[in-house]
Amino acid sequence: MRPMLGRLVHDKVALVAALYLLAVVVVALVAPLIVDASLMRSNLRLRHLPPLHVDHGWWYVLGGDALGRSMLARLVVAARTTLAISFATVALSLVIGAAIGLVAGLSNAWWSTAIMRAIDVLMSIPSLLLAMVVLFVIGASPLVVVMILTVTRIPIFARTARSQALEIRERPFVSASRVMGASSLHLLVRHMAPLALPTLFAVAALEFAQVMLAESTLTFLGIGVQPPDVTWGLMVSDGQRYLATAWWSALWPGLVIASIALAATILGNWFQVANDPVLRARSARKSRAPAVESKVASNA
Amino acid sequence: MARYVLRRALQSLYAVLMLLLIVFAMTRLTGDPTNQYLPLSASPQARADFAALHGFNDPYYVQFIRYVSDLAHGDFGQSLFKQRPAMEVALEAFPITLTLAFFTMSIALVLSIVLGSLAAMRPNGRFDRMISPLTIFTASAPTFWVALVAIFVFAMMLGWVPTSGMGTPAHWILPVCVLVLTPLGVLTQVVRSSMVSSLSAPYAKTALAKGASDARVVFVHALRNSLLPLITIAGVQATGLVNGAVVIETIFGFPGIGKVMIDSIRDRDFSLTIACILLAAVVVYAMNVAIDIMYARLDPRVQIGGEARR
Repeated sequence: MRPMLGRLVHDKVALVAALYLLAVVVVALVAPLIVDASLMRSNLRLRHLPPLHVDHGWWYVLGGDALGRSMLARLVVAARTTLAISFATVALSLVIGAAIGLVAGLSNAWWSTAIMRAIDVLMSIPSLLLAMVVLFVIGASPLVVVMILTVTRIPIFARTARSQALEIRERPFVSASRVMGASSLHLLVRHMAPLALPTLFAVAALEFAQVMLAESTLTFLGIGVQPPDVTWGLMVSDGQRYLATAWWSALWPGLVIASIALAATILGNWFQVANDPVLRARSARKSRAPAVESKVASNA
Repeated sequence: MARYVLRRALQSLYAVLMLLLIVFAMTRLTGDPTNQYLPLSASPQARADFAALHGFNDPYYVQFIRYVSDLAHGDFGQSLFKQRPAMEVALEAFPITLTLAFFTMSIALVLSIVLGSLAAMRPNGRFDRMISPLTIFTASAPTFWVALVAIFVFAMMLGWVPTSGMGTPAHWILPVCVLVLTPLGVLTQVVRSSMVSSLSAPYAKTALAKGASDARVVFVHALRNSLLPLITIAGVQATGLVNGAVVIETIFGFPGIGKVMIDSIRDRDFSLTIACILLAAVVVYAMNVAIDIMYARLDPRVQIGGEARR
């Protein structure tokens, strides 16, 4: 991890992105400590309070919403739900997808092909359609949103893990280990997983942005997270009605979503380059600017 | 060739059937549709008659078999809410979505080729440093929010275009411009990175050394080889357009298939939901097969059938 940190400091853009994400995560973690309950109560005198002045204290610097609650406080509270959903989704699909992909990559048996065909089918279903139907049936709650988004994201991790496994298993040290009588489980855990993980982490960072966008979209359409839970997507949806009178109530939450997705994408791209000696050498030779080659296939 | 296309088509058929099963099971779980359609004061007798008339009393598997057999006869069921054949409603809305998608993809493809190539000519040059961050931003900004901001700025403040609805060509400008941003950003990145590697290949250097102009090397020599990744990702993005269309049509009040789909889920209109999803899925799968064929045509190294191209 040490050399990675060193490289991060050298890439200014990626460093800023990482620090920004870190700051948002910290704010989300300490949200209950810093947000006073009174800020979340409706206060009709502060209804649609214009932003960018501090007459009513710093909490109202971003203005008030339709019920006079502080936009800033709402954003901070929503950060918790939004990030928790995205993080849980990415973590779950990473673990499940990687397990499926690595196992399927280790073996040439018929079921290995069968698994990947099933994954192909899953991947070809437009994710929003699937999510819309499922959410409407089971009812929308953060847990269901996590579940359905996880299902739609498993294929990407499974495919990445499998292609990694196919390559790693041909390396001499893996063959050697196999010849010496190592079990499949040992091969998976000791040899394949550690080598596949960095690539999977890079994909995870890019997926984090996509998952957050997907959750926001579902919630915006009214079929994702429901009040009283609040996410940034829900705040945009609330603010949509007051676009003509209070533009800020839709602007800030969307800006936060966009900036975090951007930061996560930059960090994911950087991680990919920093991990790959070939890419690293190439981008170092040309200049210090970050490469923008990305796993673009991921947002279908 | 014909065998390959047939096999791909069969695979797609299998996928459509899976989707059909999932969607059918899911929609039947949304609760008893009789409660949705009859007033609270309806007598138990009226409820029972309604359920019997539409077959909601039968076991689920009977309903499913009946549904699939109806499909095979070209009958997609009645839209309960609109009292018309479901496929008729879906097909009526479809041209709007198709037009939206067509304009979006055409603009995105042409612009991304131009912008990506220009950026790749001088990697990390001034133009590249301007374009690359921009493409990451347009690819990661949420569509629904960009749409709202665009409505606020261009329709409300400046009054250049109408806020929503359709009728005049001006109504199409904002939706297409917003919808184009995500594929444009992603595709430009793809063109740029594949063009960078094409341009550093020996044949590109040879062409330059023989005196070909920059433009000729980029657009004649290198572009053909950079098209392959572009086509693959363009297919993925086109599938993603289905998602984008739902959002855009909802916000801009376009009566396309995305809006019909969302409305039908809200109305618990089973047949219409399934008809819309099936229609969208069939088009997506047909496009994927077309892309595979195009891919093989463009790249003689691709051996049709089998894992050769991975």
